[in-house]
Amino acid sequence: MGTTAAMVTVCGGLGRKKVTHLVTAAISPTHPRTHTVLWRRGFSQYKQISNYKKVQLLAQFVSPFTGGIYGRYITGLCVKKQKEITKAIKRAQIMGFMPVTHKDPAYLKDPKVCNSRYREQLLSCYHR
Amino acid sequence: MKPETAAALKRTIEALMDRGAIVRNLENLGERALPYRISAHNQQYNSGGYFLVDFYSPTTTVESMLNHLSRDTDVIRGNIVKHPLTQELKECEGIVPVPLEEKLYSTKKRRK
Repeated sequence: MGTTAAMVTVCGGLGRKKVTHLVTAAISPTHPRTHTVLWRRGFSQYKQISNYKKVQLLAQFVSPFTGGIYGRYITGLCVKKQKEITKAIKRAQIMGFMPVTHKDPAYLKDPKVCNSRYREQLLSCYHR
Repeated sequence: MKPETAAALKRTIEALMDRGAIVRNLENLGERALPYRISAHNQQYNSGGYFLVDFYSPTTTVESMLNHLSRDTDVIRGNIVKHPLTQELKECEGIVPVPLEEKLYSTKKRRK
């Protein structure tokens, strides 16, 4: 037996149907500069396989203005998970699940998982 | 479901089976607006139907299947990925604290 594989084909058609996922996220600050991110989607953080379809989860790690993937210093993930998330985001973008240049407007009101104000936080000690 | 999409699906599954694949499951992920405008076969598309096919196949057929999908005019973008459930789950220990004082000076042996 060879490897199993999943394939997605996109054919011409009409109509819209949005697929929504339930996502909950929790941030536990351990160190003032770093924070580990545990995200729960009904199961624990290390069971996140087949991410590329979970667009709402992936869109939490993407900038709403440019659509760029946040770095590890902003998301606070460990190396392995950051790599997995990046790969899943790129895969979802290429396969046509997730937009590239922006964040899907339906997911703009999600709970903020990433420390997107990192630079301001660093410079805030110099402000008076 | 439009008859053209049904015919296209049937064609792709038959092509899969011709190459010796065993189709396990076919899922319809719905017809929705594409996240960005995709141009394929001299046409631009703004919406499409998403379908997911689970199948077992030898690794050699992946290339020929991708070739077939790129030639099919009804398929906007076809992808083949490894089945995610076959991947082993590795335990993630989380962020391991690294002793940065040891990394401050290089321990390489320098030629005197």
